[in-house]
Amino acid sequence: MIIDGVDFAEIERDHVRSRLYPDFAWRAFDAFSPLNPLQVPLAAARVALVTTSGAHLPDQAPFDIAAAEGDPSYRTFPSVTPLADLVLTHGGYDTRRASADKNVVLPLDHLRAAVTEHRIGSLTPRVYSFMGYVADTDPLVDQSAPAVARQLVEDKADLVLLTPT
Amino acid sequence: MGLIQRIFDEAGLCTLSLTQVAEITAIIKPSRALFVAHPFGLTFGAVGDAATQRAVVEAMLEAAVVMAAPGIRVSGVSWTCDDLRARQLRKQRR
Repeated sequence: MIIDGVDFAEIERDHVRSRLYPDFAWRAFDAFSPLNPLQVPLAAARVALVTTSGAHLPDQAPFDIAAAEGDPSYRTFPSVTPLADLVLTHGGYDTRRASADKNVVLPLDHLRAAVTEHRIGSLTPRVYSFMGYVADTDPLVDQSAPAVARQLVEDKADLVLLTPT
Repeated sequence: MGLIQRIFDEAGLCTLSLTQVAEITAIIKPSRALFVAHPFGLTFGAVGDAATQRAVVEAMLEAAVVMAAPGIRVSGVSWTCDDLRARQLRKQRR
């Protein structure tokens, strides 16, 4: 599926290989992962937000944006956190511009408004934040993502929204 | 993002992701994704453009409800911007 007339998957792969991580390859799959339907009406759903914006609290360790293999770790912070109290650490986009209005990468204000307007039931207590550059995906697939999945189950998330940058 | 989503899907969670690069999502094949043609770093819209940002959130919520089969749904949300996205996709600097 090439929508913009360029194969960005190929461009990005070659960019990462030549400048950062020579062994990089996309993990390709033949089949979709299981689709789990929403089990409650949206207006009653507990919605979780998972971001790869590199958002974190100032007193949390910043993501490692110098590592050629990327940083598979994640941070959590309360979903009631004011956006002004968060910082963005990411090497792959202009965090200075996004810091002027963090809703451009982390739409927490809009999700909180959706709760107030009864469009969704509530937000789960925590936001889970990754930094989107992870060239060595083994630690992500084997450790970080399964750990977050377990916490999302504990959070009783009815719907998980994943947002990139 | 797609890899993380696949693991959530395998754990039984109901998920919906946003993607700015449908080619990559098509390789990884998470259950449900919504494509939006916005630049990197302006995923939900321009700085200060709350209407577009909210429209993307609404499109995600709608997609989570209506997508009954796996795949990539194309969002109708977009805003007129310069050639930033086109340059990003080609790794070009101005």
